[in-house]
Amino acid sequence: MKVLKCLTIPFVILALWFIGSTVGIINQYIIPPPSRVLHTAITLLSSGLLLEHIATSLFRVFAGFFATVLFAFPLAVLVGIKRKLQDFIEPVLDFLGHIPPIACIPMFILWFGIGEASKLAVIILATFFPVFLNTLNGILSCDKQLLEVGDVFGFKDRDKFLRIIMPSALPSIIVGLRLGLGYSWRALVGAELIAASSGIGYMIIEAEQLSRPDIIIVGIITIGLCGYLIDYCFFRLTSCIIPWTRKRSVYGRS
Amino acid sequence: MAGVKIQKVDKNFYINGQGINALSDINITIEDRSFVALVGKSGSGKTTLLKLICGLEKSTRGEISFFQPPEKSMNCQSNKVSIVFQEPRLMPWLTVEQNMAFPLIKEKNRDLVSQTVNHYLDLLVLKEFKNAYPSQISGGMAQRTALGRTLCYDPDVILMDEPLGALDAFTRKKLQVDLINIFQLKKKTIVFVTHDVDEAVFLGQKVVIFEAGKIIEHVPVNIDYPRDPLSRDFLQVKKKILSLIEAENFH
Ligand SMILES: Nc1ncnc2c1ncn2[C@@H]1O[C@H](COP(=O)(O)OP(=O)(O)O)[C@@H](O)[C@H]1O
Ligand SMILES: [Mg+2]
Repeated sequence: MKVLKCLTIPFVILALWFIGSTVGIINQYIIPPPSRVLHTAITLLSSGLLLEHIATSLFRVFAGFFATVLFAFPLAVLVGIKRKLQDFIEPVLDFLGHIPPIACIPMFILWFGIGEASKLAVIILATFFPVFLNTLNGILSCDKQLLEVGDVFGFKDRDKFLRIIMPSALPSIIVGLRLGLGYSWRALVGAELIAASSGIGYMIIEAEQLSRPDIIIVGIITIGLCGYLIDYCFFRLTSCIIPWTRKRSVYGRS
Repeated sequence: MAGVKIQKVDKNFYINGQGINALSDINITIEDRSFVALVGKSGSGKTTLLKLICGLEKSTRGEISFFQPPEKSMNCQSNKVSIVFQEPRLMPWLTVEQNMAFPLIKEKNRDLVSQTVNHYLDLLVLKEFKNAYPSQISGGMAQRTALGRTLCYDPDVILMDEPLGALDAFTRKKLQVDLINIFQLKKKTIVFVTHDVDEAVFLGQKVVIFEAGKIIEHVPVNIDYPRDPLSRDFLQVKKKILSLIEAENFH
């Protein structure tokens, strides 16, 4: 039943698109009919080209995501423990948080060229904030009353950190990772649109130059589907780590 | 085993440079393996006193010390103190069973831990819910779990801060009876805070009346457990406490 409800709106759009194309209201050179898009998708899939682009993009996202987590997470823990560091870090982060990662691409290209390094840099920039801020926030917002429970049972600082602060921060950390993954996927595709010679974003920009709106539509749908699948897989993987939180969705989309 | 001696204790809090005198000149001797009830209005300093006893706060003046019963030899002295808070304060990420084992995280002998936990799961009738998370159980069960957690820690002195305050009358009555059973079975020193005079007289061997940070009276309750709240002796003690509180409020 729920699946049917989810599919209602896409189906209506598809139907309108189909009817519009057949009747001739929609200009085929601007929006090609669904049948042609489907045909293009099948061609791209069977030639392996689409999968190759997807694989390239996914690989970049995961590499960049792990690189970010490796330094954003320890940094957040450090700042969470040594609260005095916050005064140094906070204003800088408030400033940097307003800069869209894409705006830094020209700089990254000057520094790193259009190779993998500049893409990695964009992903790191996009992923850093949600991961760092949510981890830090999770650590800082640990319930004082629970920490008192640790005191009462004679826990040392180390035990309080590992047994109380970390588990209580876990849901927030996972939200940060999930957001970060979504941000990095979007930022990467953006970066590929500007400077790349492979990847799903590159496929789209190349199609623009070839005047192939059908490929562009396939590309856009692919981006949405991949983003959705990444998020879904991540959610399924992590929800068994935090079984005590029963809510399905924990944050608003940005 | 341990008793607690509280001598000339004062506690001031400072908020924005303004001093609040939460406790002044508190003197109580809590005998080893006795059950003492503290009653008083909210804001009279009961929680503050418990926090001083278990070391969550430091007293401004005065001394709190633990003493061992004379018959105990020197080498088995221990004065482990713990507190059951007004709220259950369970770890939301742990099940009932894991929450009860929480204070025993450092214990190497895991068989002993599961034995202890099982014992209290049985005693507090929580066995059926041992795999539930705190968000899935009722307030009464949560408070029983919190009590079980403290009992697993096996302190010599158990402080309880209105642990039954948030419960309905039936659950409350039952837990009061359970508490007396545990007290008699486990031979602990218990300091029980409440604002309910009936509860204080039902539980305490001594009732200490608090008013605005001071003790106005120590009232011994020499009635055998289990007590009948409608018996003459019970009502007499209750009347006496109520009149002392009333007298203080008409000053
Ligand atoms: N951490 C604190 N900081 C400042 N004032 C406090 C603090 N804890 C308690 N007080 C004050 O001390 C007094 C006694 O509080 P409390 O011990 O909680 O009373 P009770 O438990 O009897 O209701 C109150 O006036 C309260 O406002
Ligand atoms: Mg209180």
